[in-house]
Amino acid sequence: MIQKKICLLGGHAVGKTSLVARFVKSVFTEKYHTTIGVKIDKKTLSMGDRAVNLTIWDLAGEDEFGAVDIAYLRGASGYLLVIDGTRRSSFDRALNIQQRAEKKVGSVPFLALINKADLAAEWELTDTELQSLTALGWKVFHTSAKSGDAVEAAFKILTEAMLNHS
Amino acid sequence: MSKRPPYDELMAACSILVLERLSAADFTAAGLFPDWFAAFAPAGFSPEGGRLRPATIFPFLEYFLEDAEEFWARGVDGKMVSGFWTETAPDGADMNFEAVAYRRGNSNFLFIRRLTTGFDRLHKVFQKGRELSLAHERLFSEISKKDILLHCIIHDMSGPLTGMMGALEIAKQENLSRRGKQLVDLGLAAAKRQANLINNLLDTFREEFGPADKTLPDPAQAPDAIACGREVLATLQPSLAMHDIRGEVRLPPGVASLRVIAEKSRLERIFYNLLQNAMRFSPRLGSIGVSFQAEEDFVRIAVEDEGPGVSPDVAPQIFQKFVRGNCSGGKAGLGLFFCRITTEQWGGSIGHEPRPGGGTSFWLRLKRVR
Ligand SMILES: Nc1nc2c(ncn2[C@@H]2O[C@H](COP(=O)(O)OP(=O)(O)O)[C@@H](O)[C@H]2O)c(=O)[nH]1
Ligand SMILES: [Mg+2]
Repeated sequence: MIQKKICLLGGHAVGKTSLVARFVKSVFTEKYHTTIGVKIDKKTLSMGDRAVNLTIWDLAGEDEFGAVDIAYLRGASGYLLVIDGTRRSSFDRALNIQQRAEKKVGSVPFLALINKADLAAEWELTDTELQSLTALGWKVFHTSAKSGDAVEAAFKILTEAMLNHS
Repeated sequence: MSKRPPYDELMAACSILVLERLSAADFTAAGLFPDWFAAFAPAGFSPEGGRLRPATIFPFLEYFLEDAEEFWARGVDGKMVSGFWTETAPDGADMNFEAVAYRRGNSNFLFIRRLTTGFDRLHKVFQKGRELSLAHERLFSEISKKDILLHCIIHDMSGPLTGMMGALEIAKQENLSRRGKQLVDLGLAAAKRQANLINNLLDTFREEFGPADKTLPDPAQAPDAIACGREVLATLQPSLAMHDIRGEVRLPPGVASLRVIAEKSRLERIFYNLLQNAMRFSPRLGSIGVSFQAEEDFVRIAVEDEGPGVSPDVAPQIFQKFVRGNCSGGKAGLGLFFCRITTEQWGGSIGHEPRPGGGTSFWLRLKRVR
């Protein structure tokens, strides 16, 4: 069985924990329960005829209480960089985190997830800002942990990219 | 004095699992276990001299043990503590842990401690702190939205003033009675005061500005861009005449109306801003054209002037907030920014380019409704 470690990175309250809960347990809660340190989850994905055991490291978000502990990325085959579409601040934060992540693990596959797509009407991010991510060569997905939109797909596409990368 | 219970019993009572290192991956877990361990013990695990691979139970340890190995290899007595991690027990409950690599004499130990009260208290503080910071962020964004609204209202109020002042200026040239002239001058002075007031207000708003509401206008209400452009051009006619500038609508043959995804009053404002801009930079006796082109899914609208062109150093930021092109004083330098955020909200785009024969063309592409 193939084992892969992936990390979730991003500012606080962007929906990292909710995306994992949606993916692993198919649940969502509006109630915010903040993460301290790192939350570990596992899920097996079948990719064609192969099964991949994912260990998902959901890292505490970055805020005034502390920076993301980039050291936890060690051994990760890929990561999901989560941005809250309704909060501009999370966009700048993600750009910054991504640079540190790349320094730590090199150019492993990653996807940028613009989360809370169900609230698209309240998004603060403009198309221009979103296009600037694509211009960087990033793969960008609009997800919703609430509706489940594109969540499983994002994990699958990342896993696929990780398998092709190694 | 009563006999002291064995240490592993004391450790277990403190929710600590004690493992002794055999090799890089294998550990023994002898004696008593803390309650929580039952939920994570591998199937068929026997406590008596049982061997354990902690990293297979807790993937977090795979990472921590790499550092711990280095620490143990140093051969110095002491301890190294991991960060906190959270696991979901088989029953779905979250449990929080911390690991300690410990060395004493020639023995290397790994302690895994389930965190309870202290951690819960810490969590409460973090939870509250982050909730407050989110609430603060939300409030802040709410306030700036209100600011934007107010800003737009004020900006709107300044629009008709240009027309009023233009009309009054022309009226002054007419053959008026003395009383009539006085009244026109009074009117002009009041309009100028008002314009000044608005400029001052706009200045105080220069701080923060961002896109407002994002819902697409209803296609059923799609305005006719040509009619809209015509109307605005007509209201600006007095000012144009005063500066000896000719304004004209340029249409492709056989096209009389083009409906676009937009909201009428804001589309008018875009025309207004672009035309006023064009007017400001137009030479005397020049002409300004409003041209329309129908594409498959878009309508391309251009306001063309014969002015000096956009200087290269402001060109990249011309659609940003509060940039003033060239030196002629505009109002808040907000006009083009407004045009950009508004067209983008409608799924359109905006830009400018020099015209082959001189002058500038400011163009918009708006979604076409058939
Ligand atoms: N509407 C909506 N809310 C979401 C979504 N994802 C997360 N949330 C909410 O955002 C808050 C923060 O989510 P959480 O997963 O704890 O963020 P984390 O700090 O990045 O792990 C919670 O109140 C969630 O209910 C989403 O896709 N849509
Ligand atoms: Mg979290």
